[in-house]
Amino acid sequence: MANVTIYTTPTCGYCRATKDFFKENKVEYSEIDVSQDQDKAREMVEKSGQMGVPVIDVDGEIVVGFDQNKLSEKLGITS
Amino acid sequence: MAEESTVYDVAIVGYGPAGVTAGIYAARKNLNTLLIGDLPGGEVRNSGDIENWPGDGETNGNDLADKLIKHLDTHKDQVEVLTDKVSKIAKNDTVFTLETEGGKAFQSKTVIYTTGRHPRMLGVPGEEDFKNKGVTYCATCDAPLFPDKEVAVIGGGNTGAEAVIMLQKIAKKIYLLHNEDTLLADPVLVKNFENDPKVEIIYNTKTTKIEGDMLVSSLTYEDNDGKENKLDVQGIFVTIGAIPNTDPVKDLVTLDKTGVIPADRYAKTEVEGFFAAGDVTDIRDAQIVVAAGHGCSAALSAGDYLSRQAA
Repeated sequence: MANVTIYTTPTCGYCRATKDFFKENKVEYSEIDVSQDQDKAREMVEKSGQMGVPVIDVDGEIVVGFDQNKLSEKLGITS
Repeated sequence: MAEESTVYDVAIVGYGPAGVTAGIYAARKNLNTLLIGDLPGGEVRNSGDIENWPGDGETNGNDLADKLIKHLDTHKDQVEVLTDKVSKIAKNDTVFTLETEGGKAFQSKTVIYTTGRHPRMLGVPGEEDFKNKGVTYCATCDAPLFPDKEVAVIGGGNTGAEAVIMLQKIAKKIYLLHNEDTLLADPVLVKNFENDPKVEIIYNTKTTKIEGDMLVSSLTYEDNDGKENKLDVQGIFVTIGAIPNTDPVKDLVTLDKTGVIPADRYAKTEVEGFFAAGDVTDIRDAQIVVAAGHGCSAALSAGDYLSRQAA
């Protein structure tokens, strides 16, 4: 089972869409709200080289944005 | 499961209020429907607070998007939903073919095109370099990333005004730049910040460049006298309008001079069997409830067209 972390902000629509995608595909994940934690926000910028949310860390590999194709590939999800 | 071997009755492109409403109506007419969209709920998701969706008083983008998706899901026996992005649509005789970025191809007797718009870019040096490094087109998504920072919102329409309102609770200082001498935003929105000392409205500006290091640090604009002014900002929200998502159909249908698809109130376009609804059309009012209504008409038009084909 992959270690999945998603960096989000509370109002971000793509973040919500990504989490729904995880739930539909029974992917377990932990969520970090970067609007509440400046250190984690910095960590996200360092990991992804940019400030946009969502950022998803799948076992150390970074996916920026709700990129369903890339996420499916990394998580072994076939549609 | 979306089948590439089926010829669907209706293929809906877009997963926002227009597409979802079209899907609900198509399902209730027992039409075999495929819906393809890349963001469940569409641009509505990025809307922040919504106070003008009739029946809901105060709601927000994510909650309304979830409701739309849930309602469409009750028709899942009739409507196949695929999260993907259509890259090209062509018409071969009486059947439309739709290709997706995910590498799939589908066929349908009719198409309802509801892909909406994407934010317009400024087109100034530095903008591309700092995209997502301080430059953003979605205040709902990114306002929370700028606590106690100095930010600029470029574009004084409703989207810009809503961005300022979101930022009022978060940022230290907000510059609202507008290219004319009066804001376009509704007075009811402007009221929220016109007397806020944190918010400085600057008129008659023309942004000329964006600079920074690893992240954005400044914005330069020209005023009416042609003088250059520099603002130290760590965030720049660009809200200067939106461009219709019409690339997949540029060879299929003639766009008008503003780049939208001309469609009548019944969602009919110049192409038989090809219907378009919502913000991607020349509709006057780019509003959620109007898009939903237009999506409804599109489905009814498609149903009507199909029954005439069978006759």
